Amino acid sequence: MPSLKLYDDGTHRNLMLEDYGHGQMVQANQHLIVHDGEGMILDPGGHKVYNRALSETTLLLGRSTLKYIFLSHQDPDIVAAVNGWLMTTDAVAYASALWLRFIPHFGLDSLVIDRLRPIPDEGMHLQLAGSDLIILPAHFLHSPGNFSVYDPVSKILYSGDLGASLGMDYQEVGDFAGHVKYMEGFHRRYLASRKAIRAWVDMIRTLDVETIAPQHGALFRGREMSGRFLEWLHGLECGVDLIPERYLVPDR
Amino acid sequence: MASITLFQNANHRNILLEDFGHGQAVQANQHLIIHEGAGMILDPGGHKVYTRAMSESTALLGDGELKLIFFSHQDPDVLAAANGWMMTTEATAWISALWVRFVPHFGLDQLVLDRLKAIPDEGMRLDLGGSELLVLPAHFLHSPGNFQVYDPVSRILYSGDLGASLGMSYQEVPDFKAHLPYMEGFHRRYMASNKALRSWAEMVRGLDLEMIAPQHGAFFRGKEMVRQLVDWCAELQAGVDILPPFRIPR
Repeated sequence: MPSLKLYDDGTHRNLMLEDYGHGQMVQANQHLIVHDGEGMILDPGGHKVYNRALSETTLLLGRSTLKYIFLSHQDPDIVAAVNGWLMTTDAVAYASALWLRFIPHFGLDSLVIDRLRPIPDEGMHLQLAGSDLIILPAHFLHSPGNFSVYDPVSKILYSGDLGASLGMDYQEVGDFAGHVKYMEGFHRRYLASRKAIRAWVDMIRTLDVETIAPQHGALFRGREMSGRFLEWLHGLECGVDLIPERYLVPDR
Repeated sequence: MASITLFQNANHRNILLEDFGHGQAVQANQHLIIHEGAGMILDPGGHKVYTRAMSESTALLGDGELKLIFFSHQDPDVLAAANGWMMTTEATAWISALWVRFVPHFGLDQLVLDRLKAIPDEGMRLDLGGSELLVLPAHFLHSPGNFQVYDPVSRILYSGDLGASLGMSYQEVPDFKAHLPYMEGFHRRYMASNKALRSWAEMVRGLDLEMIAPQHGAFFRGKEMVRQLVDWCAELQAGVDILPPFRIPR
């Protein structure tokens, strides 16, 4: 699959990178936002996609420079290759303040460690050549320190693990009811609780969202489809809602 | 600080490896269990401690062999160096079924991929040279797929992030109340909820525990100290319990 253009108005582009396959790894999407000469890569991924994702990004950026690396949380599929991205670019990487002292265990070079910056719990705004990007709190969905990104120009919400789907072969959800089976198990087991889900959905509903683009699987395009996803999510029980009152010692 | 033997009898030994320093990375403990020459390393850690943790483990094992690698969850401080540990030993590595397809993003070699095994949600028992180790569910504390190890011989519970502390200079908790400032903030923010903490406390109260050894900071020795930690966890409000509404940042 080639890179997919999600939005382009001449000065602002939102691109989903080509899927480089994954073998025994979970499939992951890399997203790039470019505005007037500056770029942001979202959840750039691990070692096995690093070379191709970096060269594709460089190609798509053209004369633009990579300014930001956004890390939604601390999982291997997101941060494993962050040292390479920091070493080969002058970009600044942002991750939750909760993970700042954990990520260096990957072996961040001392040359680049001062370019890894914390996102405070309440989120923040980043400017990409004057274009505002909003880093939204999404804690416990699934990671305790977790963020989504909203781009007011393209009206795309980059939702990280929320809306993630596995096992189908399309890139855009066409039939919501038929799509639920590819995301339900993951959401019930990985997301921490309905309370966190509802806090997030309530916040998102105050935004003008055209597209929801998760880090795994297919994206939700259009207000109708995005709205159906938010409605489904709002009603979901998950995580600690479903655990027993007492964990059991395994008998075998 | 040198490696500390936490328990030893004629054929069984539990060792907390020397702290190899950490710079800007969070301090992390590596634990080794050896039974009749068979070894298990718990949460071996990232690249910066890999070389020294590996050589210390090899020295401690002597004529023995590393059989098992245990990953409590998917965080960098637990498994960033997984490939190195698996390439240089014949050990089988165990991690929550939730993370089996995420770990290869670190660049696990094809040669070792089939030695990465899934722990089912309900936990399991592992055999270490004829000695049984219990792999206990501790989901959402903090990771959605999270496990601890109980060793019935030494009666040590390896509790991963639960009981973790940061910022003090001792390795063994001398005074539970005075220790709280070093662990309270972490537990309130990283643990998902009181329901998960209580579910865990109910389970471990049924075990005969002499020690709780977390992955970060100081360990808790003796039944009274252990009881205080378990009781404290069972009552703690954390994570989604105290989560404020999410707002668009200003």
